[in-house]
Amino acid sequence: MKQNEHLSIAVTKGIVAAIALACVVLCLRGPATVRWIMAYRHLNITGPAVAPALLALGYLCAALAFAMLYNLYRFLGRLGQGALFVPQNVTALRRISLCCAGAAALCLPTGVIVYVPFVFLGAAAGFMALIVRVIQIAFAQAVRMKNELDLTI
Amino acid sequence: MAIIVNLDVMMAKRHMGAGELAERIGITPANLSILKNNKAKAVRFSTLEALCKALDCQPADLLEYVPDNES
Repeated sequence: MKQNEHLSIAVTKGIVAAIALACVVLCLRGPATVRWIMAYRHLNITGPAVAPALLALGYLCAALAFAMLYNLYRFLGRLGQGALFVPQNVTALRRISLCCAGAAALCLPTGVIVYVPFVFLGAAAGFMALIVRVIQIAFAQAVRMKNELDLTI
Repeated sequence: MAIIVNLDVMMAKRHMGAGELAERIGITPANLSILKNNKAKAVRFSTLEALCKALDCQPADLLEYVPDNES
């Protein structure tokens, strides 16, 4: 692998780590963020249960984000070692896709019921889940082809 | 696998070791071992040609079809 490819992977890993750090900060500031949304944003419904529901949604999305980022970080690590078409990468892509789909499933109904901008987040996550799913299927096919090729003498 | 590679039989007939054969046909001993132990999924014609040339035999001497329930 070329030097600039190693550098590119290292930079990407750094960005993933930075996003994970931002997620940690958002988690720590979760209650304050919910209070800010409740105070300054227009919500479709109001009531005592909305704030805890938004907080719970935020933490669930954060859990999915951490799982996704962890899998992405490991995926990049294997890429750096030159292990591209291996079954572990297919599993990682499937998990990333599931995390995105989970985030979409959480955000879309919340957007419709509580706060409209969440619809866009949910749509983006759903679209991302679809793209990663297609990449995962392509990777699975590539792993099968590589196995065949490795055993062709 | 329904196709059996009888490489070891032919190697014994020609009194040729795995290392020597691998060197003659230009593949690694590890790949020759995969072939010899029937772990290979496919054989290139170029490899088969090199094997036949090195062992002075026909492809039929190296490959045999055995139905799955008999193997």
